[in-house]
Amino acid sequence: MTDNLGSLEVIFTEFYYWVTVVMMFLIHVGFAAYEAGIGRRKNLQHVLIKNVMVIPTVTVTFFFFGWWIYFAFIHGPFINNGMGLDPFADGFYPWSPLMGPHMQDRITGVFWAAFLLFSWTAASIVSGAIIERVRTSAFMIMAVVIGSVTWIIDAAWGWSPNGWMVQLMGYHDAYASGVIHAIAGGAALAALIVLGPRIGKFGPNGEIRNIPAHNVWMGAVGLLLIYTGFWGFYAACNIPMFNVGTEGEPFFSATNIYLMPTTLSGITFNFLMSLSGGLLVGYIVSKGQPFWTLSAGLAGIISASAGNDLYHPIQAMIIGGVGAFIAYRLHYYVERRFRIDDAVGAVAVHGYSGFFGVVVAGFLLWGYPAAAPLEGSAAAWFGTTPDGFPAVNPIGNLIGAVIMFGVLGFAPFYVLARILKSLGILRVPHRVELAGLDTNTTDSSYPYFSRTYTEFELIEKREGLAATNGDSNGS
Amino acid sequence: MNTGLDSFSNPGAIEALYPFVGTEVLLVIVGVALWLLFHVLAEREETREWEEADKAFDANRLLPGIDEPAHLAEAAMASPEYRQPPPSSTGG
Repeated sequence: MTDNLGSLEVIFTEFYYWVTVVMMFLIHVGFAAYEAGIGRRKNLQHVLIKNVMVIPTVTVTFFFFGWWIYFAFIHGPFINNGMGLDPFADGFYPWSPLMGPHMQDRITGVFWAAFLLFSWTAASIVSGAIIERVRTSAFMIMAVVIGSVTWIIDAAWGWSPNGWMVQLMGYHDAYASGVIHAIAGGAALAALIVLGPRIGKFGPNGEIRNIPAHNVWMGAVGLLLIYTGFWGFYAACNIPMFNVGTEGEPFFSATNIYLMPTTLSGITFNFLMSLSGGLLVGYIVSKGQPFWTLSAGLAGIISASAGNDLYHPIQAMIIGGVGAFIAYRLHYYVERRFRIDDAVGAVAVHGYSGFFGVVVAGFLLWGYPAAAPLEGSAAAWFGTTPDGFPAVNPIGNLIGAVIMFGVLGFAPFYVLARILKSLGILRVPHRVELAGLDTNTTDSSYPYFSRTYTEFELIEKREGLAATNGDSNGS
Repeated sequence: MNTGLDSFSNPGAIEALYPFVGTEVLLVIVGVALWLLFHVLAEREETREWEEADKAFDANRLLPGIDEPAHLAEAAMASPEYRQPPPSSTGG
């Protein structure tokens, strides 16, 4: 920090990540509005606070162990050429002096915070799917597991230039289609299977009932806020300024997380075009329904995110549209076939779109350099570029998608949900769910508005009343 | 008395800025303990809340929700369409 230009670069980078953190906060404002809007009035305050509690629980645990995991687990451990925990991680133990204000370090805090906001996002994705019947304390444990353990393991593996999935399989996932979205979608699916649907969602003859949102506008503006915060997410996934040339012939550029070149200008094109592709398809398939049109826009961005550092904007638009279509169709297929009650379509918008996005990137970016080869790494399994860099390829990305969605997403959450259920702390009691989570402890959320009933609520009460006879404890 | 730095005049030589450098491990232990305590307290309080709510609701008739008119719940029970619920598909 003693020469002007060097200091400028450091402080610019520090400020860059700081701004992305502020922008990404809007994702969480959006999730809060979205979940509160989609849920029913009688559950509003519990739904809201459940989502908000992602913030402190994931933050403290990400400080205590999540950040260390990112640096320590990059080799598997032991998957890449027998390398174990990476010693570079020693600087990120929670007791390291760098994990606090430090005169010689202006990056650790802001970089930690940028990753932390991704951690909150992973947990919030799961949060929406399981509203209106999961216990808040159970969800907070889930938030810690996905926010500070499983997603950050997948980031160490597939979202670091030295991660084994990148070095050995050429895995490429620039804006986290798999690393955040597929893993969170897989986790949400596992939680939904164990948790079960909301009372009355599925009828005795197999009919599927729509549970109306209590405030469509709040849900819509929540999604729009998520779009806004997503800009910060994209910027935070980049390194703003890095020498991608050599010492002798420097060339400064923005890079993706793998230190491969891209431009902020290019990803701006692709973000907007993939969003638009999703919105256009969502509007058609859902016949203009606000929830699904806006969710399809999000699915569009997520579908193209794996390769949005490099795609042509029209490629991004088409991928976004296809991904949104897949998400919409699969959501209803899975709901019908397996009786999965996903309150906000999170498994589809994040899980299926994210999986699709990773697979597509493997094909469309086939042969591109994934990252510079790491000294000591084993040879890439599926080929290298002429410069000897591990090459992006369809097999590596397909395996990566399965690892994200299934191995690190679905499997651990299935086990966790079963444990919580066996302890009797997963779901709220049956009668409480019928009356409303807010009923016993809070005042009405809308005390000055006249009450209305939906047809669904009458059906729910008729059927639920019978089940309360002789069933005094629903969990 | 000084808990950390007493001068900023040589910034190149300054490292950690916070007071009580050297107590980081203790701080982490205390922090982790407080975090675990939070989860225990949150779970206990929530269990108490749900048990209290569950007892407050009559077994034969739901106590009206916050805004719920009692006559609508009674009408639902008296309806000729009233029927047994399906085998439980709920996970709770």
